[in-house]
Amino acid sequence: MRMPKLLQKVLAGVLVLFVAVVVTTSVISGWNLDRLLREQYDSKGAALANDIAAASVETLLNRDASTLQSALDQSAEIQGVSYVFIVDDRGQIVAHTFVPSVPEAVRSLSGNRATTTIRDVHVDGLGDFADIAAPILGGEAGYVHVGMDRAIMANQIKSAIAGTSLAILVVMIALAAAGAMVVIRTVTRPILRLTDVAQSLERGDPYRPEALAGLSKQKDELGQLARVFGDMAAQVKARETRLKQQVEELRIEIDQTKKAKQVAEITESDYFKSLRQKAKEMRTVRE
Amino acid sequence: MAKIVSIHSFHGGTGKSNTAANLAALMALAGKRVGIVDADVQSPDIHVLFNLEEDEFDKSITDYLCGKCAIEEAAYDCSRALQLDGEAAVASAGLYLVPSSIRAGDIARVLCEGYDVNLLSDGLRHLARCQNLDYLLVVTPPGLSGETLVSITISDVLVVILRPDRQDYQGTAVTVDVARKLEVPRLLVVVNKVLPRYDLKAVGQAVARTYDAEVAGVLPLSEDVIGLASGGIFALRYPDHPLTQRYRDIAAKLMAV
Repeated sequence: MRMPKLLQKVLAGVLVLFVAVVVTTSVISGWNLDRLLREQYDSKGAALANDIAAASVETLLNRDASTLQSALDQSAEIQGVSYVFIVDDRGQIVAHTFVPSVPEAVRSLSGNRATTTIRDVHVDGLGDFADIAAPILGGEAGYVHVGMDRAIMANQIKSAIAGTSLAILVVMIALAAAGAMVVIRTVTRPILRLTDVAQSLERGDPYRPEALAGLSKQKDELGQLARVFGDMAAQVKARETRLKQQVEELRIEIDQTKKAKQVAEITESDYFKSLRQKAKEMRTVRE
Repeated sequence: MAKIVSIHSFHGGTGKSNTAANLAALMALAGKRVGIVDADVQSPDIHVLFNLEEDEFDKSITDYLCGKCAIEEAAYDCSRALQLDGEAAVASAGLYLVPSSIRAGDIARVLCEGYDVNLLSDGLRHLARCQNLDYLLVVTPPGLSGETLVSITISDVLVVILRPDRQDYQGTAVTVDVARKLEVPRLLVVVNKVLPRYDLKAVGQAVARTYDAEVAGVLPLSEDVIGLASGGIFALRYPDHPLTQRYRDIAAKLMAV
Protein backbone atom coordinates (compact mmCIF):
# COMPACT_ATOMS: atom_id res chain seq x y z
CA MET A 1 0.00 0.00 0.00
CA ARG A 2 1.58 3.26 -1.02
CA MET A 3 2.07 5.85 1.70
CA PRO A 4 0.50 9.13 0.67
CA LYS A 5 2.68 12.24 0.79
CA LEU A 6 0.33 13.87 3.27
CA LEU A 7 0.82 10.99 5.66
CA GLN A 8 4.59 11.19 5.22
CA LYS A 9 4.52 14.84 6.18
CA VAL A 10 2.37 14.14 9.24
CA LEU A 11 4.60 11.29 10.39
CA ALA A 12 7.70 13.42 9.95
CA GLY A 13 6.09 16.11 12.10
CA VAL A 14 5.07 13.54 14.71
CA LEU A 15 8.61 12.14 14.80
CA VAL A 16 10.00 15.63 15.46
CA LEU A 17 7.42 16.01 18.23
CA PHE A 18 8.40 12.70 19.81
CA VAL A 19 12.07 13.54 19.76
CA ALA A 20 11.29 16.87 21.43
CA VAL A 21 9.21 15.12 24.07
CA VAL A 22 11.87 12.52 24.77
CA VAL A 23 14.59 15.16 25.02
CA THR A 24 12.51 17.27 27.37
CA THR A 25 11.63 14.25 29.50
CA SER A 26 15.27 13.24 29.69
CA VAL A 27 16.40 16.68 30.70
CA ILE A 28 13.74 16.98 33.41
CA SER A 29 14.38 13.48 34.71
CA GLY A 30 18.10 14.09 34.73
CA TRP A 31 17.65 17.28 36.66
CA ASN A 32 15.36 15.65 39.19
CA LEU A 33 17.59 12.61 39.64
CA ASP A 34 20.58 14.85 40.08
CA ARG A 35 18.81 16.74 42.83
CA LEU A 36 17.58 13.63 44.60
CA LEU A 37 20.84 11.71 44.39
CA ARG A 38 22.70 14.76 45.50
CA GLU A 39 20.53 15.00 48.60
CA GLN A 40 20.95 11.30 49.31
CA TYR A 41 24.68 11.23 48.87
CA ASP A 42 25.17 14.40 50.79
CA SER A 43 23.14 13.21 53.72
CA LYS A 44 24.90 9.85 53.61
CA GLY A 45 28.21 11.62 53.57
CA ALA A 46 27.16 13.96 56.38
CA ALA A 47 26.01 11.09 58.52
CA LEU A 48 29.28 9.27 57.96
CA ALA A 49 31.30 12.37 58.71
CA ASN A 50 29.41 13.00 61.92
CA ASP A 51 29.82 9.36 63.02
CA ILE A 52 33.52 9.46 62.37
CA ALA A 53 33.73 12.79 64.15
CA ALA A 54 32.02 11.39 67.22
CA ALA A 55 33.93 8.14 67.20
CA SER A 56 37.35 9.62 66.72
CA VAL A 57 37.35 12.06 69.60
CA GLU A 58 39.05 9.62 71.93
CA THR A 59 41.38 8.29 69.26
CA LEU A 60 42.32 11.79 68.26
CA LEU A 61 43.03 12.84 71.82
CA ASN A 62 45.06 9.68 72.35
CA ARG A 63 46.89 10.28 69.12
CA ASP A 64 46.19 6.67 68.18
CA ALA A 65 47.11 6.98 64.56
CA SER A 66 46.68 3.41 63.42
CA THR A 67 43.18 3.00 64.84
CA LEU A 68 42.25 6.25 63.24
CA GLN A 69 43.67 5.17 59.92
CA SER A 70 41.87 1.83 59.89
CA ALA A 71 38.60 3.56 60.78
CA LEU A 72 39.10 5.90 57.85
CA ASP A 73 40.03 3.07 55.48
CA GLN A 74 36.92 1.20 56.44
CA SER A 75 34.79 4.26 55.82
CA ALA A 76 36.38 4.79 52.42
CA GLU A 77 35.08 1.34 51.39
CA ILE A 78 31.51 2.53 51.68
CA GLN A 79 29.81 2.91 48.32
CA GLY A 80 30.01 6.46 47.07
CA VAL A 81 32.80 7.54 49.40
CA SER A 82 35.91 8.66 47.55
CA TYR A 83 38.08 9.84 50.39
CA VAL A 84 38.12 10.54 54.13
CA PHE A 85 40.62 12.68 55.98
CA ILE A 86 40.92 14.36 59.35
CA VAL A 87 42.50 17.69 60.14
CA ASP A 88 43.38 18.77 63.64
CA ASP A 89 42.55 22.06 65.33
CA ARG A 90 45.65 23.54 63.73
CA GLY A 91 44.65 22.50 60.25
CA GLN A 92 47.21 19.76 59.92
CA ILE A 93 46.10 16.60 58.20
CA VAL A 94 46.26 13.84 60.75
CA ALA A 95 45.06 10.91 58.66
CA HIS A 96 43.71 10.37 55.14
CA THR A 97 42.82 7.77 52.53
CA PHE A 98 44.38 9.49 49.50
CA VAL A 99 46.85 7.58 47.45
CA PRO A 100 49.58 8.76 47.34
CA SER A 101 49.02 12.16 48.89
CA VAL A 102 46.40 14.75 49.67
CA PRO A 103 45.69 16.96 46.65
CA GLU A 104 46.20 20.70 46.95
CA ALA A 105 42.59 21.56 46.20
CA VAL A 106 41.45 19.54 49.14
CA ARG A 107 44.13 20.62 51.58
CA SER A 108 42.80 24.16 51.76
CA LEU A 109 39.23 23.21 52.64
CA SER A 110 38.17 24.62 55.96
CA GLY A 111 35.36 23.74 58.29
CA ASN A 112 32.63 25.50 60.22
CA ARG A 113 32.75 25.10 64.01
CA ALA A 114 28.97 25.20 64.35
CA THR A 115 27.74 22.86 61.68
CA THR A 116 28.57 20.25 59.03
CA THR A 117 29.28 21.97 55.72
CA ILE A 118 28.97 20.56 52.23
CA ARG A 119 30.69 21.99 49.20
CA ASP A 120 31.49 20.92 45.64
CA VAL A 121 35.14 20.38 44.91
CA HIS A 122 36.97 19.69 41.68
CA VAL A 123 40.31 17.94 41.79
CA ASP A 124 42.33 17.82 38.57
CA GLY A 125 42.95 14.25 37.61
CA LEU A 126 40.49 12.81 40.13
CA GLY A 127 37.16 14.40 39.29
CA ASP A 128 34.28 16.10 41.05
CA PHE A 129 33.39 15.50 44.69
CA ALA A 130 31.05 16.71 47.36
CA ASP A 131 33.25 17.51 50.39
CA ILE A 132 31.42 17.19 53.69
CA ALA A 133 33.22 18.70 56.68
CA ALA A 134 32.01 17.78 60.17
CA PRO A 135 33.48 19.52 63.27
CA ILE A 136 35.01 17.33 65.99
CA LEU A 137 34.13 18.57 69.44
CA GLY A 138 32.83 21.80 68.02
CA GLY A 139 35.97 22.26 65.99
CA GLU A 140 38.20 22.12 69.08
CA ALA A 141 39.73 18.83 68.03
CA GLY A 142 39.60 19.46 64.31
CA TYR A 143 37.41 18.37 61.37
CA VAL A 144 36.47 15.24 59.52
CA HIS A 145 36.20 15.54 55.71
CA VAL A 146 34.30 12.96 53.74
CA GLY A 147 34.41 13.19 49.92
CA MET A 148 31.44 11.70 48.03
CA ASP A 149 32.09 10.79 44.39
CA ARG A 150 29.97 12.85 41.99
CA ALA A 151 31.08 10.75 39.02
CA ILE A 152 29.31 7.67 40.28
CA MET A 153 26.23 9.80 40.72
CA ALA A 154 26.51 11.15 37.18
CA ASN A 155 26.91 7.65 35.74
CA GLN A 156 23.93 6.40 37.66
CA ILE A 157 21.85 9.26 36.28
CA LYS A 158 23.02 8.64 32.71
CA SER A 159 22.23 4.96 32.73
CA ALA A 160 18.87 5.56 34.37
CA ILE A 161 17.90 8.16 31.81
CA ALA A 162 19.23 6.24 28.86
CA GLY A 163 17.18 3.29 29.88
CA THR A 164 14.07 5.39 30.41
CA SER A 165 14.44 7.36 27.18
CA LEU A 166 14.88 4.26 25.12
CA ALA A 167 11.83 2.70 26.70
CA ILE A 168 9.76 5.86 26.11
CA LEU A 169 10.93 6.12 22.49
CA VAL A 170 10.06 2.52 21.76
CA VAL A 171 6.60 2.92 23.29
CA MET A 172 5.99 6.15 21.38
CA ILE A 173 7.07 4.68 18.06
CA ALA A 174 4.79 1.74 18.64
CA LEU A 175 1.94 4.14 19.44
CA ALA A 176 2.76 6.25 16.40
CA ALA A 177 2.74 3.24 14.13
CA ALA A 178 -0.59 2.19 15.55
CA GLY A 179 -1.89 5.76 15.20
CA ALA A 180 -0.69 5.93 11.61
CA MET A 181 -2.57 2.76 10.77
CA VAL A 182 -5.72 4.25 12.19
CA VAL A 183 -5.23 7.55 10.31
CA ILE A 184 -4.59 5.76 7.04
CA ARG A 185 -7.68 3.70 7.43
CA THR A 186 -10.04 6.50 8.35
CA VAL A 187 -8.69 9.52 6.45
CA THR A 188 -6.19 8.94 3.70
CA ARG A 189 -7.84 5.93 2.11
CA PRO A 190 -11.05 7.83 1.47
CA ILE A 191 -9.07 10.82 0.22
CA LEU A 192 -7.15 8.56 -2.13
CA ARG A 193 -10.40 7.16 -3.40
CA LEU A 194 -11.65 10.70 -4.13
CA THR A 195 -8.43 11.62 -5.93
CA ASP A 196 -8.61 8.41 -7.96
CA VAL A 197 -12.13 9.31 -9.07
CA ALA A 198 -10.98 12.86 -9.88
CA GLN A 199 -8.12 11.56 -11.99
CA SER A 200 -10.31 9.16 -13.90
CA LEU A 201 -12.72 12.04 -14.61
CA GLU A 202 -9.81 14.11 -15.86
CA ARG A 203 -8.79 11.32 -18.22
CA GLY A 204 -12.30 11.28 -19.58
CA ASP A 205 -13.37 7.90 -18.23
CA PRO A 206 -17.09 7.47 -17.64
CA TYR A 207 -18.07 8.48 -14.13
CA ARG A 208 -19.19 5.61 -11.89
CA PRO A 209 -21.14 6.81 -8.83
CA GLU A 210 -20.63 3.40 -7.13
CA ALA A 211 -16.98 4.29 -6.61
CA LEU A 212 -18.01 6.80 -3.95
CA ALA A 213 -21.15 5.07 -2.66
CA GLY A 214 -19.64 3.69 0.55
CA LEU A 215 -17.82 6.88 1.39
CA SER A 216 -20.88 9.05 0.80
CA LYS A 217 -22.71 7.23 3.57
CA GLN A 218 -20.26 8.38 6.25
CA LYS A 219 -21.73 10.96 8.57
CA ASP A 220 -18.55 12.98 8.97
CA GLU A 221 -16.89 15.69 6.88
CA LEU A 222 -15.36 13.08 4.58
CA GLY A 223 -18.80 11.76 3.83
CA GLN A 224 -19.98 15.26 3.06
CA LEU A 225 -17.02 15.86 0.78
CA ALA A 226 -17.74 12.63 -1.04
CA ARG A 227 -21.39 13.58 -1.54
CA VAL A 228 -20.58 17.06 -2.85
CA PHE A 229 -17.84 15.64 -5.03
CA GLY A 230 -20.21 13.07 -6.45
CA ASP A 231 -22.77 15.75 -7.31
CA MET A 232 -20.11 17.85 -9.01
CA ALA A 233 -18.73 14.93 -10.97
CA ALA A 234 -22.22 14.04 -12.20
CA GLN A 235 -22.77 17.65 -13.31
CA VAL A 236 -19.45 17.82 -15.12
CA LYS A 237 -20.19 14.60 -16.94
CA ALA A 238 -23.67 15.78 -17.91
CA ARG A 239 -22.33 19.07 -19.24
CA GLU A 240 -19.67 17.27 -21.26
CA THR A 241 -22.26 15.02 -22.81
CA ARG A 242 -24.43 18.01 -23.73
CA LEU A 243 -21.46 19.79 -25.28
CA LYS A 244 -20.47 16.76 -27.30
CA GLN A 245 -23.97 16.50 -28.67
CA GLN A 246 -23.98 20.14 -29.65
CA VAL A 247 -20.78 20.33 -31.64
CA GLU A 248 -22.51 20.18 -34.93
CA GLU A 249 -20.97 20.12 -38.29
CA LEU A 250 -21.10 23.54 -39.88
CA ARG A 251 -22.95 23.04 -43.12
CA ILE A 252 -22.15 25.65 -45.72
CA GLU A 253 -24.41 25.50 -48.69
CA ILE A 254 -23.81 27.74 -51.65
CA ASP A 255 -26.24 28.11 -54.45
CA GLN A 256 -23.74 27.89 -57.25
CA THR A 257 -26.09 29.00 -60.01
CA LYS A 258 -27.16 32.08 -58.13
CA LYS A 259 -23.57 32.85 -57.34
CA ALA A 260 -22.48 32.52 -60.94
CA LYS A 261 -25.22 34.90 -61.95
CA GLN A 262 -24.25 37.47 -59.34
CA VAL A 263 -20.59 37.26 -60.26
CA ALA A 264 -21.41 37.66 -63.94
CA GLU A 265 -23.52 40.73 -63.22
CA ILE A 266 -20.49 42.39 -61.74
CA THR A 267 -17.68 41.16 -63.87
CA GLU A 268 -19.35 41.52 -67.20
CA SER A 269 -20.01 45.23 -66.78
CA ASP A 270 -17.88 47.67 -68.76
CA TYR A 271 -16.92 49.33 -65.55
CA PHE A 272 -15.43 46.11 -64.25
CA LYS A 273 -13.56 45.46 -67.44
CA SER A 274 -12.01 48.92 -67.37
CA LEU A 275 -11.18 48.36 -63.72
CA ARG A 276 -9.41 45.16 -64.59
CA GLN A 277 -7.37 46.98 -67.17
CA LYS A 278 -6.55 49.75 -64.71
CA ALA A 279 -5.62 47.10 -62.16
CA LYS A 280 -2.89 45.84 -64.45
CA GLU A 281 -1.65 49.38 -64.95
CA MET A 282 -1.84 50.24 -61.26
CA ARG A 283 0.09 47.14 -60.37
CA THR A 284 2.83 47.76 -62.85
CA VAL A 285 3.12 51.35 -61.60
CA ARG A 286 3.53 50.14 -58.11
CA GLU A 287 6.18 47.53 -58.91
CA MET B 1 6.23 50.48 -50.06
CA ALA B 2 3.17 50.21 -47.92
CA LYS B 3 0.99 47.17 -48.23
CA ILE B 4 -2.67 48.02 -48.75
CA VAL B 5 -5.05 45.67 -46.97
CA SER B 6 -8.76 45.89 -47.73
CA ILE B 7 -11.05 44.66 -45.02
CA HIS B 8 -14.31 43.73 -46.61
CA SER B 9 -17.52 41.84 -46.10
CA PHE B 10 -20.52 41.29 -48.30
CA HIS B 11 -22.98 42.33 -45.64
CA GLY B 12 -22.82 44.78 -42.78
CA GLY B 13 -22.63 43.69 -39.17
CA THR B 14 -19.90 41.14 -39.64
CA GLY B 15 -17.50 42.98 -37.35
CA LYS B 16 -15.26 44.54 -40.03
CA SER B 17 -14.56 47.77 -38.15
CA ASN B 18 -13.87 46.05 -34.88
CA THR B 19 -11.62 43.44 -36.45
CA ALA B 20 -9.78 46.05 -38.51
CA ALA B 21 -9.23 48.28 -35.47
CA ASN B 22 -7.88 45.38 -33.41
CA LEU B 23 -5.58 44.23 -36.20
CA ALA B 24 -4.29 47.79 -36.76
CA ALA B 25 -3.59 48.24 -33.04
CA LEU B 26 -1.80 44.89 -32.70
CA MET B 27 0.33 45.56 -35.78
CA ALA B 28 1.28 48.96 -34.40
CA LEU B 29 2.17 47.34 -31.07
CA ALA B 30 4.39 44.95 -33.06
CA GLY B 31 6.34 48.02 -34.20
CA LYS B 32 4.77 48.71 -37.58
CA ARG B 33 3.50 52.02 -38.91
CA VAL B 34 -0.15 51.41 -39.63
CA GLY B 35 -2.89 53.51 -41.12
CA ILE B 36 -6.58 52.64 -40.98
CA VAL B 37 -9.13 54.27 -43.27
CA ASP B 38 -12.85 54.13 -42.60
CA ALA B 39 -14.01 53.99 -46.20
CA ASP B 40 -17.42 52.73 -45.12
CA VAL B 41 -18.96 56.12 -45.63
CA GLN B 42 -22.45 54.86 -44.90
CA SER B 43 -21.68 53.75 -41.36
CA PRO B 44 -18.83 55.69 -39.82
CA ASP B 45 -17.84 53.86 -36.68
CA ILE B 46 -14.10 53.33 -36.41
CA HIS B 47 -13.50 56.67 -34.72
CA VAL B 48 -15.71 55.47 -31.84
CA LEU B 49 -13.38 52.55 -31.18
CA PHE B 50 -10.43 54.90 -31.10
CA ASN B 51 -12.26 57.21 -28.71
CA LEU B 52 -11.92 60.05 -31.19
CA GLU B 53 -14.78 62.32 -30.23
CA GLU B 54 -16.90 63.86 -32.93
CA ASP B 55 -15.78 67.35 -31.99
CA GLU B 56 -12.13 66.27 -32.05
CA PHE B 57 -11.99 65.71 -35.75
CA ASP B 58 -13.20 68.05 -38.45
CA LYS B 59 -11.69 66.49 -41.52
CA SER B 60 -12.62 63.03 -42.73
CA ILE B 61 -12.21 60.74 -45.72
CA THR B 62 -15.51 62.12 -46.88
CA ASP B 63 -14.03 65.62 -47.06
CA TYR B 64 -11.08 64.34 -49.02
CA LEU B 65 -13.30 62.49 -51.49
CA CYS B 66 -15.32 65.67 -52.02
CA GLY B 67 -12.11 67.49 -52.70
CA LYS B 68 -12.30 69.66 -49.62
CA CYS B 69 -8.92 68.77 -48.15
CA ALA B 70 -5.72 66.87 -48.58
CA ILE B 71 -5.81 63.34 -47.32
CA GLU B 72 -3.08 63.86 -44.74
CA GLU B 73 -5.22 66.54 -43.13
CA ALA B 74 -7.82 63.89 -42.42
CA ALA B 75 -5.35 61.50 -40.83
CA TYR B 76 -5.27 61.56 -37.04
CA ASP B 77 -2.38 60.24 -34.96
CA CYS B 78 -3.81 57.68 -32.56
CA SER B 79 -0.60 56.26 -31.13
CA ARG B 80 -1.42 57.44 -27.63
CA ALA B 81 -4.06 54.72 -27.63
CA LEU B 82 -1.18 52.23 -27.75
CA GLN B 83 0.35 53.29 -24.47
CA LEU B 84 -1.05 51.13 -21.73
CA ASP B 85 -0.03 50.82 -18.11
CA GLY B 86 3.50 52.06 -18.59
CA GLU B 87 4.13 49.75 -21.54
CA ALA B 88 5.81 52.07 -24.00
CA ALA B 89 4.93 51.48 -27.62
CA VAL B 90 7.79 50.86 -30.02
CA ALA B 91 9.21 54.29 -30.87
CA SER B 92 9.09 53.83 -34.61
CA ALA B 93 5.53 52.53 -34.66
CA GLY B 94 2.57 54.64 -35.64
CA LEU B 95 -1.18 54.37 -35.79
CA TYR B 96 -3.14 56.78 -37.95
CA LEU B 97 -6.88 56.89 -38.44
CA VAL B 98 -8.68 58.47 -41.35
CA PRO B 99 -12.22 58.59 -40.05
CA SER B 100 -15.41 58.80 -41.97
CA SER B 101 -17.65 61.79 -41.50
CA ILE B 102 -20.65 61.48 -39.25
CA ARG B 103 -22.36 64.43 -40.78
CA ALA B 104 -25.45 63.17 -42.51
CA GLY B 105 -25.20 65.76 -45.25
CA ASP B 106 -21.72 64.66 -46.23
CA ILE B 107 -22.71 61.05 -46.24
CA ALA B 108 -25.73 61.67 -48.43
CA ARG B 109 -23.70 63.73 -50.90
CA VAL B 110 -21.03 61.09 -51.33
CA LEU B 111 -23.62 58.36 -51.76
CA CYS B 112 -25.55 60.32 -54.35
CA GLU B 113 -22.73 61.85 -56.31
CA GLY B 114 -20.28 59.02 -55.95
CA TYR B 115 -16.63 59.90 -56.14
CA ASP B 116 -13.76 59.54 -58.53
CA VAL B 117 -12.43 56.12 -57.76
CA ASN B 118 -8.93 57.06 -58.84
CA LEU B 119 -9.13 59.72 -56.16
CA LEU B 120 -9.36 57.04 -53.51
CA SER B 121 -6.45 55.04 -54.84
CA ASP B 122 -4.25 58.13 -55.30
CA GLY B 123 -5.19 59.33 -51.85
CA LEU B 124 -4.32 56.05 -50.20
CA ARG B 125 -0.92 55.87 -51.86
CA HIS B 126 -0.20 59.46 -51.00
CA LEU B 127 -1.11 58.91 -47.37
CA ALA B 128 1.08 55.81 -47.18
CA ARG B 129 4.02 57.82 -48.54
CA CYS B 130 3.40 60.85 -46.30
CA GLN B 131 3.33 58.96 -43.06
CA ASN B 132 5.81 56.36 -44.21
CA LEU B 133 3.37 53.58 -43.49
CA ASP B 134 4.10 49.87 -43.54
CA TYR B 135 0.45 48.88 -43.78
CA LEU B 136 -2.73 50.71 -44.74
CA LEU B 137 -5.93 49.01 -43.69
CA VAL B 138 -8.97 50.13 -45.65
CA VAL B 139 -12.36 49.22 -44.24
CA THR B 140 -14.56 49.12 -47.30
CA PRO B 141 -18.29 49.55 -47.48
CA PRO B 142 -20.21 46.28 -47.56
CA GLY B 143 -21.04 44.77 -50.89
CA LEU B 144 -19.31 45.07 -54.23
CA SER B 145 -19.92 48.65 -55.21
CA GLY B 146 -17.61 50.56 -57.49
CA GLU B 147 -15.65 52.12 -54.64
CA THR B 148 -15.14 48.72 -53.03
CA LEU B 149 -14.01 47.19 -56.28
CA VAL B 150 -11.41 49.93 -56.66
CA SER B 151 -10.18 49.38 -53.16
CA ILE B 152 -9.89 45.66 -53.83
CA THR B 153 -8.11 46.34 -57.09
CA ILE B 154 -5.32 48.35 -55.54
CA SER B 155 -4.97 46.06 -52.50
CA ASP B 156 -2.10 43.74 -51.85
CA VAL B 157 -4.25 41.73 -49.46
CA LEU B 158 -8.01 41.31 -49.33
CA VAL B 159 -9.45 40.16 -46.03
CA VAL B 160 -13.02 38.94 -46.35
CA ILE B 161 -14.94 38.71 -43.12
CA LEU B 162 -18.04 36.59 -42.74
CA ARG B 163 -20.27 35.26 -40.02
CA PRO B 164 -21.44 31.65 -40.01
CA ASP B 165 -24.69 32.81 -41.55
CA ARG B 166 -26.38 31.74 -44.76
CA GLN B 167 -26.50 35.28 -46.16
CA ASP B 168 -22.79 35.71 -45.61
CA TYR B 169 -21.89 32.36 -47.19
CA GLN B 170 -23.53 33.24 -50.45
CA GLY B 171 -22.18 36.79 -50.54
CA THR B 172 -18.65 35.69 -49.69
CA ALA B 173 -18.71 33.19 -52.55
CA VAL B 174 -19.45 36.02 -54.97
CA THR B 175 -16.78 38.26 -53.42
CA VAL B 176 -14.11 35.58 -53.59
CA ASP B 177 -14.84 34.87 -57.24
CA VAL B 178 -14.79 38.56 -58.19
CA ALA B 179 -11.62 39.18 -56.20
CA ARG B 180 -9.91 36.32 -57.99
CA LYS B 181 -10.96 37.79 -61.31
CA LEU B 182 -9.34 41.05 -60.21
CA GLU B 183 -6.20 39.02 -59.49
CA VAL B 184 -5.80 40.15 -55.91
CA PRO B 185 -2.31 38.97 -54.85
CA ARG B 186 -3.49 37.53 -51.54
CA LEU B 187 -6.92 36.58 -50.25
CA LEU B 188 -7.60 35.81 -46.60
CA VAL B 189 -10.89 34.80 -45.02
CA VAL B 190 -11.82 35.53 -41.42
CA VAL B 191 -14.85 33.87 -39.83
CA ASN B 192 -16.24 36.12 -37.11
CA LYS B 193 -18.87 35.84 -34.36
CA VAL B 194 -18.88 32.04 -34.25
CA LEU B 195 -20.95 30.55 -31.42
CA PRO B 196 -18.51 29.05 -28.88
CA ARG B 197 -20.28 25.72 -28.92
CA TYR B 198 -18.90 25.08 -32.38
CA ASP B 199 -15.52 23.48 -32.83
CA LEU B 200 -13.68 26.54 -34.14
CA LYS B 201 -11.02 24.52 -35.90
CA ALA B 202 -13.61 22.48 -37.77
CA VAL B 203 -15.41 25.70 -38.78
CA GLY B 204 -12.15 27.09 -40.20
CA GLN B 205 -11.55 23.91 -42.16
CA ALA B 206 -15.08 23.84 -43.57
CA VAL B 207 -14.82 27.49 -44.70
CA ALA B 208 -11.37 26.95 -46.22
CA ARG B 209 -12.70 23.97 -48.18
CA THR B 210 -15.79 25.84 -49.36
CA TYR B 211 -13.95 28.83 -50.81
CA ASP B 212 -10.63 27.10 -51.50
CA ALA B 213 -9.03 30.00 -49.66
CA GLU B 214 -6.75 30.53 -46.68
CA VAL B 215 -8.66 31.08 -43.45
CA ALA B 216 -6.59 33.53 -41.42
CA GLY B 217 -8.64 33.15 -38.27
CA VAL B 218 -11.85 31.97 -36.67
CA LEU B 219 -13.13 34.38 -34.02
CA PRO B 220 -15.68 33.21 -31.47
CA LEU B 221 -18.59 35.38 -30.45
CA SER B 222 -17.44 36.95 -27.22
CA GLU B 223 -19.57 38.32 -24.45
CA ASP B 224 -16.56 40.34 -23.39
CA VAL B 225 -16.49 42.10 -26.76
CA ILE B 226 -20.19 42.85 -26.56
CA GLY B 227 -19.68 43.99 -22.99
CA LEU B 228 -16.97 46.41 -24.06
CA ALA B 229 -19.67 47.87 -26.34
CA SER B 230 -17.25 49.70 -28.65
CA GLY B 231 -15.83 51.52 -25.63
CA GLY B 232 -12.35 50.90 -26.91
CA ILE B 233 -10.13 48.53 -28.81
CA PHE B 234 -10.54 45.04 -27.34
CA ALA B 235 -6.97 43.86 -27.92
CA LEU B 236 -5.60 46.88 -26.06
CA ARG B 237 -8.06 46.60 -23.23
CA TYR B 238 -7.65 42.83 -22.75
CA PRO B 239 -4.13 41.96 -23.90
CA ASP B 240 -4.17 38.53 -22.29
CA HIS B 241 -7.64 37.43 -23.48
CA PRO B 242 -7.70 34.31 -25.70
CA LEU B 243 -9.61 36.30 -28.34
CA THR B 244 -6.78 38.85 -28.43
CA GLN B 245 -4.37 36.01 -29.13
CA ARG B 246 -6.54 35.02 -32.09
CA TYR B 247 -6.38 38.62 -33.38
CA ARG B 248 -2.63 38.49 -32.91
CA ASP B 249 -2.39 35.32 -34.98
CA ILE B 250 -4.32 36.98 -37.83
CA ALA B 251 -2.10 40.08 -37.61
CA ALA B 252 0.96 37.83 -37.77
CA LYS B 253 -0.38 36.23 -40.95
CA LEU B 254 -0.95 39.70 -42.41
CA MET B 255 2.58 40.74 -41.56
CA ALA B 256 4.11 37.57 -42.97
CA VAL B 257 5.27 37.90 -46.53
